[in-house]
Amino acid sequence: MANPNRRGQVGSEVSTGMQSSSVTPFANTSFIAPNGLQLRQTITSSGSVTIPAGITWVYVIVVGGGSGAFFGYGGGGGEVAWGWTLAQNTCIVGAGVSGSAGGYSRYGHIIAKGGALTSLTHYYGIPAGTTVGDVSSPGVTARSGGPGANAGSGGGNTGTTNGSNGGNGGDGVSGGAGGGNISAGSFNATAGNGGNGLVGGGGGRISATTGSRTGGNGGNGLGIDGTIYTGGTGTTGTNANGAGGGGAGIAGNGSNASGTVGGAGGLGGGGGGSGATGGTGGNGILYIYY
Amino acid sequence: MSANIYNNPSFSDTPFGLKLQQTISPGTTSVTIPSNIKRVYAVCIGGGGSGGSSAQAGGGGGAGGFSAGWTYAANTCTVGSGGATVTGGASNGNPGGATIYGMVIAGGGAAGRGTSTAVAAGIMGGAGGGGSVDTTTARAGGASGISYTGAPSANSGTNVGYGGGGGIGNSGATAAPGAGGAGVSGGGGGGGNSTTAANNATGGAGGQGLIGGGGGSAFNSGTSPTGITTGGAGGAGDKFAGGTGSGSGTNTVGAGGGGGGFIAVGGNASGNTGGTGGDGGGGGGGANNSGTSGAGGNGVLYLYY
Repeated sequence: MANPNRRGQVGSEVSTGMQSSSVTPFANTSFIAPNGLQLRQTITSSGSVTIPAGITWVYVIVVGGGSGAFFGYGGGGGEVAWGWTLAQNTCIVGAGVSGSAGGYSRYGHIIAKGGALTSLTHYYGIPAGTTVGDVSSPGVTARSGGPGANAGSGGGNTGTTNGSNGGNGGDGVSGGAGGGNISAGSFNATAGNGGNGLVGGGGGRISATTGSRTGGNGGNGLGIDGTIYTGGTGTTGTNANGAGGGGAGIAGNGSNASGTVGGAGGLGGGGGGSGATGGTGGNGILYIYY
Repeated sequence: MSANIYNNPSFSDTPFGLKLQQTISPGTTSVTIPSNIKRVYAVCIGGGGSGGSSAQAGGGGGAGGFSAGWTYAANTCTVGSGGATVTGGASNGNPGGATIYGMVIAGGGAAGRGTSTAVAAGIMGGAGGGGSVDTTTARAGGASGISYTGAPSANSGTNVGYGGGGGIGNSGATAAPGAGGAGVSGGGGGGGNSTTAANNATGGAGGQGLIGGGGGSAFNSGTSPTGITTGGAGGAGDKFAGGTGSGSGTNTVGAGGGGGGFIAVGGNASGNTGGTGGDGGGGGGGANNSGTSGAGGNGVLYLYY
């Protein structure tokens, strides 16, 4: 019973009907964006919602706000949840934030949590990806975060020799944050990229070494119409560089980092890029179909 | 339209266009479905938990869980009642009952706390109950239950989840109890106690959601207290508001309001008596000063076909 919008059994009886001539529920075979239904409303902030009289059920895609960057890590992508719910006249759309987990979004009983450094089990019970955390891996790249609906963040590396790189965020429905390296010393390092998904994670940063610093790129996202949104790029150089790019959201590109300032996450839950000034996560979004 | 569900195996059945045919309340256990209808879409809402009763400040009850999905047609059902009230100053509340139809189940909201004994977590999407407090000790609330869809539990505290966590009680010079966590079903607010006679105290608000949690209560344990004690408001539901906490007095008031349900508003608190949770799973308000807690709102079962 993980997904109530599952396929029916052949020949099973069900009473259904058409609520308007423009809707073709018999053709609804697509999973994430129901084929035949029309996208009627795209909402980017909390408040009231007006559903036409006579429409009692709506299909929604709900995306939580993106996480801001934490320490050397980028921000995790906001969760994506979907499903049918009873029409309501209010909604909550989570804001992307700086330095902490993103806000949750909810419409009816479909709820998506904001992105976070440590990923959680998904709305439909899909396991979270493994979050690596800080590791000491001198001269090698830290392990990548695990894949999952809410993917895990890559490892942050505390090593102080060349190549003590951060791990990439895991790929998933919502990408994990890239890990970084904020240890002091004189070594060259590259931070991990944010994970890819419908929503991308933010890139990690390299911020204290006097050697070469390369920030991680934000992970890419995928829009509801198939548009690929790209994560922002990290900065490369010495001293005032090494910040991570913002992850793409489900509805917008992530921003490039600038100097030591992390890139902002894209609209629709993109994770913020890490930096001395961390990038803000992208705001959540709500799509309503009927 | 040339294809239909009888000759198209790729049909993805949805509730779109279905009509609400039956609304079933607690006490009804028999269901009659027309013989030609083999599957129905059920919306189950569990009963709300009742608040706790403490000699100082009890926590609010958690909102009942909400579950929806297809099931085979069944001729029986269980619809959960709201948790019953408690009184006397040394009782945890009661959890709400689960609502079950065929393969769809929604758990009840967890009880609000009123004693040193921890309250159980909510079940199957039910929200956590609020924590309580005595003159010196703050107590945690309850966690929510894993939802029917598999969304994770939220721990005690102002934690967001499918079911929100129960707010944590607080005791100190300035009472600062936690609100119930927000979610589809809101957690109960925590009880708050001020140990400074002149300071005001306010209970934690119930968590907001599609269904609201009950508010926590408030107390002042200072010597010859003069501070105003005000109960926490019940959490707002999407459809109906939560009730207000009682205030404008010292310890003779301060109970929490009932959470807004899916069917009705939450009741206002009065004196030391918590507000009743709104029907459709609202959590009951917590009681202070050994008063009577608010009952949880009854659950409900909707059948669409």
